[in-house]
Amino acid sequence: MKKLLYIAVAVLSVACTADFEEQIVSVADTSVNTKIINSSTGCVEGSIVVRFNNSAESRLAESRLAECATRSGATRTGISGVDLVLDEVRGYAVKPVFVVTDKNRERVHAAGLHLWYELLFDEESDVDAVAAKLADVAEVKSVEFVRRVCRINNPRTISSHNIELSSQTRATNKMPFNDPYNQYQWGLCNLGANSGIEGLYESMPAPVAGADVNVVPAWKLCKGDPSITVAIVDEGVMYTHEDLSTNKWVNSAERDGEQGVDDDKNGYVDDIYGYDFVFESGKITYDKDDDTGHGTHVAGIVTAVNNNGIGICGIAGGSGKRDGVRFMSLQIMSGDSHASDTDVARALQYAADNGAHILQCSWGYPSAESAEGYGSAPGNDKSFKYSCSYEAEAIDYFIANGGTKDGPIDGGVAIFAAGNSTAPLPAYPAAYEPCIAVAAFSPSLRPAYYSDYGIGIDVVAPGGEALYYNGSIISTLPPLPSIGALYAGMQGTSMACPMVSGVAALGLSYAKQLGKRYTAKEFRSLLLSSTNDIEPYLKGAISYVDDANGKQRHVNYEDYKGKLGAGYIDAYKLLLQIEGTPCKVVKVGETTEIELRSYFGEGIANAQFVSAEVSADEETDAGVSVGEYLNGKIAVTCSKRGVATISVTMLVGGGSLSDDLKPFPTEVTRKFVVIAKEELSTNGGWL
Amino acid sequence: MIQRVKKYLLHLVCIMILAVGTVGCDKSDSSDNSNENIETINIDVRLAGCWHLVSFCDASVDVDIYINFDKSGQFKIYQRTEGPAYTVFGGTCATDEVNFVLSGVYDDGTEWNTDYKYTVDTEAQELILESVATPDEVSVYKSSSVPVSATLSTRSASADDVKPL
Repeated sequence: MKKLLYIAVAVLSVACTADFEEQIVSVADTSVNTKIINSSTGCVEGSIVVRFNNSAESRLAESRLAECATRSGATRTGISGVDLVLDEVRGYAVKPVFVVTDKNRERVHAAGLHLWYELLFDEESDVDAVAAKLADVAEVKSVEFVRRVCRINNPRTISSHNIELSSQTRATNKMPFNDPYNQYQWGLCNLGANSGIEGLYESMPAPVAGADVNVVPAWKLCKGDPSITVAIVDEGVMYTHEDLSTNKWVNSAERDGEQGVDDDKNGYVDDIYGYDFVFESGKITYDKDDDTGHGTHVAGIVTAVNNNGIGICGIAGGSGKRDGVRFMSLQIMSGDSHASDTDVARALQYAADNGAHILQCSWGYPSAESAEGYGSAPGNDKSFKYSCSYEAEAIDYFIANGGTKDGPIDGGVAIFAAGNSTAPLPAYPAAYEPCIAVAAFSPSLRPAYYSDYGIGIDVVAPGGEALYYNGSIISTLPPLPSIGALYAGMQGTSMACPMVSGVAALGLSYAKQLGKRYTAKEFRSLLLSSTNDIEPYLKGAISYVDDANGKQRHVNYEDYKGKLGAGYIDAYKLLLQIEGTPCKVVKVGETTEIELRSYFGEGIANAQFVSAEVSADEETDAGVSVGEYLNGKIAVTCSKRGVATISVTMLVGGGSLSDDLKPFPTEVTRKFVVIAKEELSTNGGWL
Repeated sequence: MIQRVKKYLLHLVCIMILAVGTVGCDKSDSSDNSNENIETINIDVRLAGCWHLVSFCDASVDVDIYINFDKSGQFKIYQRTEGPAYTVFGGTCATDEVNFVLSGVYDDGTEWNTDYKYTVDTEAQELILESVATPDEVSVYKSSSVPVSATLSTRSASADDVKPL
């Protein structure tokens, strides 16, 4: 009988940061000090990033730095003030942070990314002094010290269980595929009392049937589409894994081209399945000493191959006919080596420039309100954009430029894990307004004990909880000596995040099949209004022993009320919303109250109403007037027969657009059609 | 002569037996055959099939309202008018093929809000319904098929699953 190793490991990759300084930057203040964005504490020696003013653009272009597609060869900038500094500190390389090629030049320039450069010099130099001198140069707009991404492992191995793989599937297993471990995937189909999940402590709430992403009915409509690509920015993904290999993204130009040559001229060599940004290599690695399998685990949740008789199911893994969405491995961690944040920024750019539709990022900085991050991590958008400028710009670039020309979305969707610090504020970049911040829930549909929450959370998804036997999230792994299995359980917002990425990928697959195309903002609105209400479950409390330190901890679920965004994600609702514009039939001359819950998801109770608008033409043609918003409803009156489209905007995630000391809420806009008829059937039927 | 008459009468008898046998094999008259192969047509056959609403009062609409007519006079309306899930309304209908009027009753006994004058354009695969009660209230439908999602049921965890701690 096979055994499945179950290890409860909470992993969140976190950037090692220099101290963040929350500075309110005055536009008029161009003093040297304000040009230096962050502190040098913990920074990479011998490296500084500068952002040049727009006025320096032509001189940079003259020096042809911007044409350096492979980022090698240039040692000076052509800006005399900067080059003098480099002469003093034995500067040996000047590299554009972002890759510029013939294919992407126009949009990279439009985003201003071509003005960022990394200067490399003698590591013995005093990096603060170098920064001060560079900041003194008029053409320099900002100076930043470089940080490295590092891993924080919280090996909360509450217990280690060997799951006996039963020779018989549970009679109540509703999964439609033949993948043998799918019966353990409660995050995809939670059978509640029949799930085999048990709390390890007294009085723990029981697992709840339906506490999952509701993908089983969604699969009747769509199972994935190979034209959709999800960029896994993480440890390398084992692209040869028996349950992943079919769904790997392949750069065919590089695969069929010449080794050592940038065959497709995208600025990277031999990037067949993605790219290793740690060692700047086309070869993806995933099983070095100190690797954890995190990237492979995350990828499996999104797109493990369905119905192949092995392993698990992926949310958008297809039907077994090579029709799952594709994963692109963008490696930012490798064994005990880590990418710098400039490498991370470049990875995000790569995703946009090479056709990824979704950015899947189970990593981030500590929450500003966590024990690790307090006072030293960004706590609002302004702080994040100031202190992590090129990362924020890279995210913006992906959202604006991701996807493909003929695909279902104009731009991309950036999805980030909220953090595992049990903090009442999500981490950045997750909390950055354009990103989708994902918190985690347990098999009992309660917030997972480790999950960050609060203003800035957009949505909740299954993240696993090792306080339950069989409560973790099972997925794929490389054959690491420390684990010794190709499948195992993990917990964390790291697991919840790819649940949402998988749902988004499934939604884009369906949109592609229906011939629909959305803006990035429209699709994000669809995603965040495809939710169910988690508030009814936020009652009671649990106590458990933290294995890390033996201390007893207490979780009061009431503390999470109103702090879990739009609610928990629902894949089936998303696909239904993609099918067509929702519609309401009203009677001419009568005022009808329209329940917005139907269009915004069940989490609307915590959303803030912004506006309900009708176009001027429709206002006239159908005589439409929209009344005040009250208790989740708006009143609509049509004085004539006809059709009108009402566009309603809400803010999700708490907070306020006018309070920039906290993360901003996310704007969600939904449209629905109102048809006004003279007479209606008394039972609601159309005729 | 007599031989010729006998031959003629024999032929006549054979013909008559053949005719009776043919009539006797008429399915509708046979008490041994079931009525399963008999198609009952109670509405204008041109209406049979699925129709998707595409226009109302001259305005294009992109909404999920589908009407499926069966030749026997059964209909089903699949409409997404109360949120993301479909609601299905069934019933019976009949056509007046002289005046081209369509009328119907839902299974719960509710009558349609009005009768409809109908026009079928088989070439354009279009059905036009004009309200009898409110002339000029015109809906246009295109020939389609019932969406898969309209035949599925939705499911979500309900608050009833919450157990007090």
